[in-house]
Amino acid sequence: MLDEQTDLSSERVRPTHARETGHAQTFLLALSAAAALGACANPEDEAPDSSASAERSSRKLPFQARAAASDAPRAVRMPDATALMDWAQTQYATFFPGPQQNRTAAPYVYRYYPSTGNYLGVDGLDIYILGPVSGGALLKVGTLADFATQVYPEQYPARDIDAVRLLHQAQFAATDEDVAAVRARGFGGWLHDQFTRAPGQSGAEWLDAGRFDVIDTATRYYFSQQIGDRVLWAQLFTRQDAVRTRVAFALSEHFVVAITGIDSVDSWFVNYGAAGYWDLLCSHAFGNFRQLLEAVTLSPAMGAYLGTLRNLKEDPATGRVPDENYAREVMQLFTIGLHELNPDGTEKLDAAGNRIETYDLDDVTGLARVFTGYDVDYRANQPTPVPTTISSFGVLNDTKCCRKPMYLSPSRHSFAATSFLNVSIPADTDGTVALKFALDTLFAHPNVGPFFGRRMIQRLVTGNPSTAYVQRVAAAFNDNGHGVRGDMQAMLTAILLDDEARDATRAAASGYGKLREPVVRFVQWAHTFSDVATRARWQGGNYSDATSLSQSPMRASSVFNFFRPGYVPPGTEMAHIGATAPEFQIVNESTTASYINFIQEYIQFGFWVPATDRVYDAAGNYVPPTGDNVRPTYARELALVDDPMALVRRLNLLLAAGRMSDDTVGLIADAISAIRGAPGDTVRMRDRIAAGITLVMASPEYLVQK
Amino acid sequence: MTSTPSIDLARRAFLRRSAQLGAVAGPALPWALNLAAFGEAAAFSASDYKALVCVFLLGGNDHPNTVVAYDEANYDIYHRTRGGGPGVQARELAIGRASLEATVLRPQRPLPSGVAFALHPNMTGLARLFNSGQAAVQMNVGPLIVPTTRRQFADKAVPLPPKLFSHNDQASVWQSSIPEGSTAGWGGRIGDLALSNNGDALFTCVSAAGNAVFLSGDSALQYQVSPSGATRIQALNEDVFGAGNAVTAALRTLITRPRTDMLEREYSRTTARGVEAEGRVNAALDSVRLATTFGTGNALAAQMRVVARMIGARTTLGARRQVFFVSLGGFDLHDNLMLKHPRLIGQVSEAMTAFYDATVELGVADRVTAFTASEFGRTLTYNYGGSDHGWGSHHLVVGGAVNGAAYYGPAPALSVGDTDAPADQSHAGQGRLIPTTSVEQFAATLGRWFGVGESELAELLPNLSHFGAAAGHPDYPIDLGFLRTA
Repeated sequence: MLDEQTDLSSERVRPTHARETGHAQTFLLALSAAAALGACANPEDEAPDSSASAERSSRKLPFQARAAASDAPRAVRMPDATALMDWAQTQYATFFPGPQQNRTAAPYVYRYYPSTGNYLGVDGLDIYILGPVSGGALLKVGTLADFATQVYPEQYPARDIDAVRLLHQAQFAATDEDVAAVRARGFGGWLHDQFTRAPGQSGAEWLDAGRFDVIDTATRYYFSQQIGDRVLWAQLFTRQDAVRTRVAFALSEHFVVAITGIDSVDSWFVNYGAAGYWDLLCSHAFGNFRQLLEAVTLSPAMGAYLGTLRNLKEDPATGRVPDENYAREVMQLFTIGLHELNPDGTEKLDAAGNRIETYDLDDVTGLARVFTGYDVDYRANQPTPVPTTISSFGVLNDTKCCRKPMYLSPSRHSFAATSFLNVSIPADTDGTVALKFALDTLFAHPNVGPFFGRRMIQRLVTGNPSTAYVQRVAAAFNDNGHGVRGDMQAMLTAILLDDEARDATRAAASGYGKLREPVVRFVQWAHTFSDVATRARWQGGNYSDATSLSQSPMRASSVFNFFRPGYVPPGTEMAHIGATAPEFQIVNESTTASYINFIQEYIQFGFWVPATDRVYDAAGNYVPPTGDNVRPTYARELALVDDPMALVRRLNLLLAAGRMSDDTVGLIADAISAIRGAPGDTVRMRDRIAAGITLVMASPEYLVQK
Repeated sequence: MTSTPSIDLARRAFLRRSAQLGAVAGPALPWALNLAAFGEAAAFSASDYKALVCVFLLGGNDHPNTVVAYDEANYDIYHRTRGGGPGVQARELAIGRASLEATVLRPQRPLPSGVAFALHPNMTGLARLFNSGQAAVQMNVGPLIVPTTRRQFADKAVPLPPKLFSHNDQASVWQSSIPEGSTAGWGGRIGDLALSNNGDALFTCVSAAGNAVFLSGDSALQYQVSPSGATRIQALNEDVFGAGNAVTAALRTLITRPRTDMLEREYSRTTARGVEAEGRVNAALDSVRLATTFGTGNALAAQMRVVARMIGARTTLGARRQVFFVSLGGFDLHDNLMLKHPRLIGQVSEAMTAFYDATVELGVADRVTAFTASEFGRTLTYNYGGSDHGWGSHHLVVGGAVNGAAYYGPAPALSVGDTDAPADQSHAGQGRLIPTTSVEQFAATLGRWFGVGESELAELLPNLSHFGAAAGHPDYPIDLGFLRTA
């Protein structure tokens, strides 16, 4: 065939517009329109995908099968020649009646349709047609990238609300710009962009920039847990790499450290300690679980929180034994859990039908020896002498030692032979080697994928995921497609692009989804309605009390977080069907009311920001400085304030992903219409907006994310 | 209060009625929505008032430093095992012997062989109540499926409680006999029986400390109060946006109307319950004036104060049988134990003593029983600065109905030895006590006093039948005897 059409291999490509005739015109018009759409959606940095056919076998995990190790995972799913031609056969059967097989003639992969006399071919990225369809001339109709949205429509949001749904799962909020970006780039393309986005200013950098390292008895930043709250909220409010920040927040609820639990170590800056821990979660959020686990284990904050810091080896003379806290919780909570799991996250049963424990007391005692001998790394410390009225140590340690990995002091480390989880470490093994071996052992346990994967699904997408969903996510954790285990990007992609996350119809079913976490609701409000400059001025505090928000970053009351992944709310339909709904653990008659009081105040008035930081008088009493309210921007909402229906529709889209019914939207619009003011009365108009947002954010249709 | 046929009959009628309603409403509609329909059911025929108050110490309280060995022989073992070496001075985890003098417990019948205990030096209030007969110590209580020896534990020769030594799971097992994910606890199940005795079933099970499975029954829900009372929604009660009543009316509709989605429905049910009850609760609480002071800076005391006020408002709220839950966190002291535990356990003593005083003030001291609980005790051994997760623990029972100034259950031998010697049989390694009293015996004793019938106890405590003389275990009695069941 091809030899009959030798000109196919030539460069004689004619301009599209010169050859539009008859039926071909219809086809070409469609293709041209598609090409135009695709061209703006797909920047030229999207290289052709030489292994695209391999991707085909893993539709659920688009970039699992990427072969080249040097390539970053790429989330834009590009059709290959086969997929493109299959699609063309279904969409334009008049010209390309299938089935036909691929044929090759370098540089083309093509198909020939004898009944119509048409050719369809692909050269690298470029797509050509030839025959009656093109008036007999070889015609380039676009590139593979141009057709991605049509060949794989499920990869692109069909509606704004589909884009908003992804944004609510992957980050905190959906702004107009975010929605446009997801629509243009597709779900995977947008996610890929976020993975490659430069990290924002870290918590420690924020503290440095604000000169919170200054030692001043008036401000007393050094022991201030409140500055810890401020830096964490500033991170949540202002970081532009919102997906990384959102994932780090989820990790902070898995690898839990609380500010209150790290305040009594030596004489260190508790706020830098907290920020340092947060920063490592951000740094590893898109990295590998194994490195994340090691960074967490060696963090002085985690060391202080769960006892690895200054954990001493056994002393037979006095009967002293190592602290077992971290050994137990790193297994129970961070990696493998209490019972052996199937790949789909369900519990394995033995022949007698009993669950199989992953470890026993001896395993905990054995593993605990590995975590002995660690201390704060003071080797480069530059302490500042201070009066003993400030610190009984007579010095304040610098702001760096509380964030460097802990230092192993061999004289305090147990060199006894030990065993755990069916592995053994011989006596006199170097402590660093023993730690690596222990963490490798935990990381290699088959439970980690389903255990950790299910928890991350719960944090981001749905509280009671199907076992099949868990299994797909665990598979991505176990192998990212080129043999790498623990690839966080692969796991997050599997979570966020899974059909169970993306299918809006399925998500609409009763019980699907999750209650939005109070912190996430609050940050969502900040991101949606205020510019960065405004958010940057806000000083967040500890809102974990039940009379406040019931949640605040790094303020859980224990390593068991604000709520447990296995929580089933008693007395509910969830209890009846055994469905986990973790966030309901902080839902009761008090907290539902406190939440509305909390948001109403901030939505209406913003933050009261002191003119200066907190100060103390000579007697050490807190003296509140005067300050002012820094109000939310509401710039785009002010433009709609005279059209309450349009305003509430916008709130419905951006806050609730369009879940509010027309009735609810009308109810809210009517209510806020009662707030009237003279033309130009911005205070009254802002009240109208604030009332609308308060009503939306108090509504169950908003509170449940689907 | 004893079991009578009429009570069990009432119970059966109650269950029958529940089942019928469940069938009518379908599983999607929780029974609790229809509590008002249970008017004719009555598990308790009594018209008097009784309340149980669970004081949960989150994190696993260090029992060796709460009920402290005091006689010379045992103190010496305690002192050496906790890193103090020989002597009586405070060191590592060992409290100095001299500092215990003021809180030595003086039971009416001293223990054999001169065995003696003191409470932590900061527990002066509870030591006073013990010695004056309003408090007792239940020795070595913890989750058990069946009576268990050290050998049986080591050989896994008997069924053991699931997920031992795990915080969240043992907290759940203590409260409900089932690990995390459990949806009904024995406080709530006792509440189920009392629902119809109360004018308003909602105030049967009340928490001042957040959600706890302890207070959830098959029908009973836990109602949450904050230390200052019911939480009022400002925008529902004031025109904060200057919209006349338009926004307040819309808000009420939005947050209380029934929803079809399961998650939305349960959220709005909770909100609606709170909105509906808030005015009544706060009005009732406003009428209660307590002279008793509860101290400041003590989160547990603040919770117990609102519980006392709720009890003070019992008539207004129509309550005759109530179960309360309060808690204090921070007990998981693997480190800094000697820095932090004294303050925490002192707060427990302060709060429970003030609470007892408040019940005296309210004239209900013998109608209210408070008890401590915690997911587990701790090791007797010490690590650098703290102790590790254990199993059995000592707990306190406080109230006018308590047979006080007494220990219940055998005092366990202090040991960390791993031999077959009798003294080493008390623990599962590192001095982790193997309970000699099960939580279910403990619960049954409290439940019987509260008015729960014998057959009902067996229904709400799944392993209770494995204990007691009838099961061949007279050393594990169903009624531990620390409460007067007049």
